[in-house]
Amino acid sequence: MLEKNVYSAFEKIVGERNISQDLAVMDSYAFQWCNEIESAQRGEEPQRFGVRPLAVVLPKSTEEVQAIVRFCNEHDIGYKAFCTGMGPWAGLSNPRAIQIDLRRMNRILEIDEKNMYAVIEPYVTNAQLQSELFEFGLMHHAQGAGPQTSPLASHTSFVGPGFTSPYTGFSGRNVLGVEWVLPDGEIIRLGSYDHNGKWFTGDGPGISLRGIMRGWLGAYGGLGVFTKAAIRLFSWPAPKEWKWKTSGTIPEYDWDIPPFWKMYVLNFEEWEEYQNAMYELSDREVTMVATTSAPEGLAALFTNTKQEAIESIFAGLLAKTRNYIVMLVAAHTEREFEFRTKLVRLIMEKYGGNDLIEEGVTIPKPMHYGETVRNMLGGHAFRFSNCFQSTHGGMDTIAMAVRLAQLNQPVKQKYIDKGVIGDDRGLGVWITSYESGHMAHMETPTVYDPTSIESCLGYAAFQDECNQMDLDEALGMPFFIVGDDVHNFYAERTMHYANWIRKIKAAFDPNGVSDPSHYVKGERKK
Amino acid sequence: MNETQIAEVEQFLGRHSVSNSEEILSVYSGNEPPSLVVWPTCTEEIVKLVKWANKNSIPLVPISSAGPKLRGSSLPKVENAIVIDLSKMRKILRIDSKNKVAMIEPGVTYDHLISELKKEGLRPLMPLLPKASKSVLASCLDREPITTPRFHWDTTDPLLCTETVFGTGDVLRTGAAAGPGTLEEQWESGQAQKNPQGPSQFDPFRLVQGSQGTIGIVTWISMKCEKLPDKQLFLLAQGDDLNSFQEFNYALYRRRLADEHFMLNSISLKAILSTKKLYSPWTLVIGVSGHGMLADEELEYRVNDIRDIGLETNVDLQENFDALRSSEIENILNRSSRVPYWKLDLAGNCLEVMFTTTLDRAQGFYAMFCGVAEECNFPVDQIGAYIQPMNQGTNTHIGFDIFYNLDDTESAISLLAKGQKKLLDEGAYFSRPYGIITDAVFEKASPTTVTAMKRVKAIFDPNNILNPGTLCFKEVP
Amino acid sequence: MTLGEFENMMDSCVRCSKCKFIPQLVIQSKRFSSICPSIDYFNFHAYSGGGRMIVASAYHKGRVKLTPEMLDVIYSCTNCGGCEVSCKWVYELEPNEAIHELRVAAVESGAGPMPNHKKYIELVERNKNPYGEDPKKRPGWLTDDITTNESSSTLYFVGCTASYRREEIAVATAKILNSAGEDFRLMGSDEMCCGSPVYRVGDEKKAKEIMKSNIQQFKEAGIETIITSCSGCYNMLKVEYPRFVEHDIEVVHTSQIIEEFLRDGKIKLSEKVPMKVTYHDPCHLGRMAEPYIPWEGEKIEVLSQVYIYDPPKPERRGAGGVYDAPRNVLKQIPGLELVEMERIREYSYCCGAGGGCKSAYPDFSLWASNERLEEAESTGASTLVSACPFCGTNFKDGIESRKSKMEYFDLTELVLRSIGGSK
Repeated sequence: MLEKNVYSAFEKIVGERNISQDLAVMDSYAFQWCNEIESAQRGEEPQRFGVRPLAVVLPKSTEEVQAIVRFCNEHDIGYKAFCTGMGPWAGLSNPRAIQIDLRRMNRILEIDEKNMYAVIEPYVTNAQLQSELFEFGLMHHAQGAGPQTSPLASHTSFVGPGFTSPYTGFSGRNVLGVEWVLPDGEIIRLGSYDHNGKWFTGDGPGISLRGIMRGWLGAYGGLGVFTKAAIRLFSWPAPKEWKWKTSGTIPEYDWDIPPFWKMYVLNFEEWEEYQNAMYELSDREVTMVATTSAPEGLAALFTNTKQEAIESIFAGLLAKTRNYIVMLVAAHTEREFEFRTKLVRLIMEKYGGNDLIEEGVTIPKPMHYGETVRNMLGGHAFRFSNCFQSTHGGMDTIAMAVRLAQLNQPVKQKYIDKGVIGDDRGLGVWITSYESGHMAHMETPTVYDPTSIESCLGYAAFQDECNQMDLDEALGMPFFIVGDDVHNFYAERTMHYANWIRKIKAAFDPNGVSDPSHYVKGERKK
Repeated sequence: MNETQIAEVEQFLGRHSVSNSEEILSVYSGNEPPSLVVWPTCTEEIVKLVKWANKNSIPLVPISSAGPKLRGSSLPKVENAIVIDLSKMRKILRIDSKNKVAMIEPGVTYDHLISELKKEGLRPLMPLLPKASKSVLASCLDREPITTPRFHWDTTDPLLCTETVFGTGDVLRTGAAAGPGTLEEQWESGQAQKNPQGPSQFDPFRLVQGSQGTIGIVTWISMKCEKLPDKQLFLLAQGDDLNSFQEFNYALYRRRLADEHFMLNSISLKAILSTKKLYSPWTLVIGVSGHGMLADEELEYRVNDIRDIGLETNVDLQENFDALRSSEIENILNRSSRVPYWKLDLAGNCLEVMFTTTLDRAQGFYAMFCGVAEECNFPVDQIGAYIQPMNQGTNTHIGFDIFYNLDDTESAISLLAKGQKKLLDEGAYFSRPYGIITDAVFEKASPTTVTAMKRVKAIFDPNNILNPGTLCFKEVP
Repeated sequence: MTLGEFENMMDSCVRCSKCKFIPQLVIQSKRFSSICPSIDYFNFHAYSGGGRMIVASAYHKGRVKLTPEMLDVIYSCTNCGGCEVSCKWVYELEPNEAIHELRVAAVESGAGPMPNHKKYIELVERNKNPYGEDPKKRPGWLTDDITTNESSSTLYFVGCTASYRREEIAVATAKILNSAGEDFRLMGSDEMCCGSPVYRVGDEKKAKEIMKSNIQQFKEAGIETIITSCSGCYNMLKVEYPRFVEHDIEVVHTSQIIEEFLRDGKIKLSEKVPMKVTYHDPCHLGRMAEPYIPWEGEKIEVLSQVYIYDPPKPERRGAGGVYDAPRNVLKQIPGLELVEMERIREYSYCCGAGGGCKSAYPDFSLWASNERLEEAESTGASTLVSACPFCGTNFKDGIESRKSKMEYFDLTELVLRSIGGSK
């Protein structure tokens, strides 16, 4: 338990209503998805309860966050802040630590319609922001974790793939100015803000401190607290009069598709044709979405229940599906639409592909268009067993993504044969391209049973083998190479990068209180 | 520097790569003359030199470009420095046309790169008329804005991965280039050093970029390229002030229809085209292209959609005006400047002002700067202006060029000082500060920003040997 | 099912936070995107549907004991089922069921329910209603111009709130039934609480006794059809009772029967009711109104780690609630304009009164009602309509507390007005 005076001090900062140390409340923070993998690896019954915080505080403002962080520094209390907090990286590793739940900091502070950026607080969710941007004809980049998660968290602290990545890019590249409570409690505002009160760029003067804030991966909560972020916005390709409207009853909703939109599932027999098509389609900037999963994944994308997905699998979807690209042509004008659809057809034909939607193999309903742009499709993978997680994650070229998928298949098949992970014939991937094909990444969503020790251990073993494969075959860095042990394992063959990150951690978190569970521990100041 | 030290440097670089002749030293003089100029030819030599400089507390100033120095950022600000001229490392290491990327050494200049890329059907993303001797790598490291905002997804573009020797002498390949695997192994697995981010949970390339040589010495970069257009067309518009294009510009940003997209005032145009013609106060340049399959149709739809925006926003778009033709604009794009540098042609000398803002403030800042020019008795018709949208339109680079002849030196310098100060006070963001405005910029930045930058410096160059006196890094080794 | 039987389910929570919001696809604005009044008010994750499921799991595993704060977590939930609608978009989890089981466990341990709940349970036992009113005065709302038929096999089950607090609803219902020529009887002062306030707070033992006794009473009276004007009673009789007591009595809500009357021409809506209204879907008439069909069958692994059920498990996602009937009725009232809020049907935002909250957490209940009223006001409607006297009471309290210009009416009141019966 926290000392009484410490608890009182926090209580004074946030108010009596906004602090708790009740064990049941604490457990609702200790519990995290994927903790069961780690507990199974330790030989325990797989379970999701990780380290319990000693208290949870709900600050309302940057000033309160700063006061909390300063106090933690003075009294050697660890802390980790999060927004919705989905995943083990939101949890603590330090038993003497608190969680800072940013739920009460949830305002959209500014939407600069002309210059296309929004300034948001931590607990604004993707769906909330998206719904408020439509009236300005704008959209933002929402990460694949889903519409109920925080764009600020993704842009400042996590990774950043999304279903609209060909058009809206990658979170880490879309962030402009941020307001950041550093691990020691100082407040820094990156970029232009100090010079004019605006957040239109997060770089300079001179070097860009965005280089400290995050890399390809964020610090996963291990380097202070982000209290505001300005993120780039993009044009929403629909007429001004169009409104986001649904009707009907769950789960069969109807959704108003804007004019000049068309979905495709372009299917190619071989990886080579797929790869060439992906390159050309991406480069020609014809699509808002260019995403690939397994045939089993396709079954889950455009259906509404597990039952429907399974039925479509057994009805022969798999036989007709090879390497496909889900694409969404979303044009601003009729002219643009006609050009794009014509070009898509030509490219498809050039590489010997066929459109699975046109052939009725998969039939997305209007609501699936809505789900696509609301970044909900990733969540469909949960329908199979309430659980999945991804191995790999490397991001560079479309060619590497394909090679990763090819090399991964026999490895995954091994674990499928052991009966410990979901059976997608090893083809289960998520590939998406970014910024009109500039980059692509590949991860392997893998269904496992979180309540079965064999399945948890099986998934963990598969993940280990995937990590080793990435190391040995030069296939980029996976998402979950985070945390000291894993960094050590990887950094040896990746130019000892972790040493630099540890120096950054030591310099910016001299008291070592910003919980580094999925970051690095720095060298502590003597 | 004493004889022993010089001898030591000659030992690991080779005598022909080292000079301390008066003539050479004076070419590379900044606030102070250097004590040595060296021309390394590979990374290993640079590593040796950096480690040696740490031991001996000798400042190092890396430079990659030759020719007229307008900013002075890569000339010594302190005494006894060694200037490391990287221009002899001038290989184009790799061009990957499928992945639209080139890997280059510091000495590669634009014209060289452009001609090699052309063979592979590519073109570089590049600034407007860089000087002929400008290092492409340095341009990318300086965050020099490119003329094509559509391809400018992040501030850092077109810079991707790097190989950097930090001030400690450690080498890091940044971005996906860090690995795992050697570059050859990465190429084998289909990679092309396109992901600039990382490795892992930091972005060292963002720390090196914009550092003006104070964090590391970069020995190669990979950079984004684009496919060469198969069809291309330019649309121009004329306006009395920037606001007449504002609505058009903002609408166009959203659509990403154009490639080249920027504005020049009449003085800049005059200087660039080296004419005495009378141009409209402002000219808007839009480049549109189509490539690959249906290139014609692509060009057509883009042009027509752009024209529709022009109609909706009252901007008259023409391929040619009386005073200015598309072909003239085409001739100044995708190439470097005539020698020595176009900016010196109008009056013989040039002082540069550059800052970042949003497009809606551009006209105001221009008027403000001209107002200060009048106060300083500097002729307004010798102030060039270049407005370059960046980050797909989210922010805008503004460059004012003070073209002056020697007689106007005093008022030019006065304008530079007073003008920049005024701009700074009114909210112009000098994200790439050079010269006399630098200190004021860091005073305006919050102390925590400066402290954070110094912490970064202390990590990557703990002995302050890299280009001391630059940005907010005032300490000397 | 017990907490133990739910263990794997509780352990499968991904902690994704979908349970805090309406189904993501239907979100139209930031302001009206949440579905859970409890987490909206209390903010700690434990107060969300998923959070409570985690708390239930922690309790079941013996990690935590029932502290006063934990009881607050457990009981400051209206059990509205919103979390479950959102969760089931992709998961096979039942957070609302787990919350109920946690309450049952709390009562069994002696720690729960809350003191105010214990008080009103005693009153229910003693006075047949949680308000402690005189059971003899239960039929006191009857007016002279209402006709009943004591030998009818159709019972109008008035419920405690309409009997003692929202009498205008009872009167309107009875008059509409009369107008339609629909014979009905009352239980009068013999009417016993449906048991909802007892059941919802987890006193399943006492609730079962009430259910059994009521069904016995209905059977003895030869009741074949029950009409109710209260969504809470509707839910109890139709959905919860069959979990514990077999009966084949048809249970109908006033909105459904009025829709039928209109279709069959048994009543005529002749008087204009010039109002712009918006309709609030009561949770117990909507998403909670799907029967909980006990499933027995096989779990079959069709793909590795992927199971289906044979026979298929009923999904119970709220789709089968009563949403259209009240709307169809409102649309037929001349002069009335119906505008919709953003959160409607199965993703309606709870009024805040249910699950024992009005009694134990009145500030929270009032706050939730204010939230919902703000949404109602944002439609531009002058009137909020619903079909539950318990929602009605909370909304009326809310209107007063925020000095809203809105009025509140039950569906039956507007229908009565339109058939000219309010004179």
